[in-house]
Amino acid sequence: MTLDVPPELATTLRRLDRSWPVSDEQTLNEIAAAFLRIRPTIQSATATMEQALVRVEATNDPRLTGSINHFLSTAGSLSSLKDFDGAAASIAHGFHSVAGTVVALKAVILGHLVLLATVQQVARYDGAAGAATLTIALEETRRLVDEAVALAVQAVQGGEDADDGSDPADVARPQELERLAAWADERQDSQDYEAAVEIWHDLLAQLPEPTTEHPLAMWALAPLGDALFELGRFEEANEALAGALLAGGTGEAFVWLRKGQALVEVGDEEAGVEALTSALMLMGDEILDDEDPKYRQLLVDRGIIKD
Amino acid sequence: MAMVDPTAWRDAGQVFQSEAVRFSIIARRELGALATTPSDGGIEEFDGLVAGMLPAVMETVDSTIDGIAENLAAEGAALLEMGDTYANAQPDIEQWDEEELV
Repeated sequence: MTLDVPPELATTLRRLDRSWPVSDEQTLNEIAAAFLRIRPTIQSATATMEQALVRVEATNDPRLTGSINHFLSTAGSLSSLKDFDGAAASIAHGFHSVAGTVVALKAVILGHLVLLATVQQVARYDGAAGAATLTIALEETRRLVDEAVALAVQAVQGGEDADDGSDPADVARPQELERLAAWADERQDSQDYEAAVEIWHDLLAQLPEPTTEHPLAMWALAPLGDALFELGRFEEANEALAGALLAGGTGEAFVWLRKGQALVEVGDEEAGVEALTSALMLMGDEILDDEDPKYRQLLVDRGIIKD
Repeated sequence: MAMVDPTAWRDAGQVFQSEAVRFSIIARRELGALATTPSDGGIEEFDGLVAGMLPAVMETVDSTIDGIAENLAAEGAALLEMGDTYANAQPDIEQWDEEELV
């Protein structure tokens, strides 16, 4: 499903002399999904090759195996393949985020169009004063739409200028932060959630205040919330996911999903349903496919989705 | 007596070569025909930027997939060759004594 301008607002848009974004959030989500789909292949290939090397090591004298196995597992293509797995995940995150930005931009423009259409209706009955009001409203709406587009462009560019004027400490330890993030990811993939939570907390403690403004914050808070949810620590999960949203995760369907689930688990069903609905709007109800059926049932009961 | 198992080397070589092919085929199948988003008739600055993302990413991804698949296959061939070499030298290697391990 792609958010489009309703026919009744198309005339207002033309009068505004601005265009509707043609970027397609569904296509962007499909691109992200394609990058996620290759990850299991990469991971199984890596595991199969590592097992083959383990067998070589187990059945051959160390003088025959030491150097070549070390090369293959650390500097060879096996290592590149593991890096590519991480890159595929990052690329998928990137396209999901851009899809979220597209939806957000369209929603903002729609909101302004609705307001402008209302002013148009009122101005009709107010003669010369109404015409003047409409002119002002048109100018102001153009300015707001242009501002929203500029912000969306900045978001898609990924804050290329984000380091300008920032604390040098932010860039002084990127390798350490990346190492911690990779370690936490690895623990989380292995379902060692206790360890992953510890490492994510350690990483977040190293980010300068305000933490949520750091480029890495969302990528640490979202999986932290996920790990806490898996551990049944729902209050803490809810807190971490609220931080992830503040840190720029509003376009991430998975953050809304886990936030909604955590809220439901702590008893705030209303807010939970709202958050789950946001996840659905970003990614469709297939996001619930691998989740406990009770969340889908909750949304069915509330009439958000059909049974 | 030193252990040597040429079959394990050859098996590993075959695994590397077959996984290289599998990885390349699946990556191409999933990523090879992705459609980008349109940019004509929209907001040039924004839609143009979004539409340009996939081609830019795929330029790097394509060459990375090719490079990894080619190198894995080459490493597989090297492992197979090692297996053949150790098969030929197996009687000699098995004669290595403990002193030679030091």
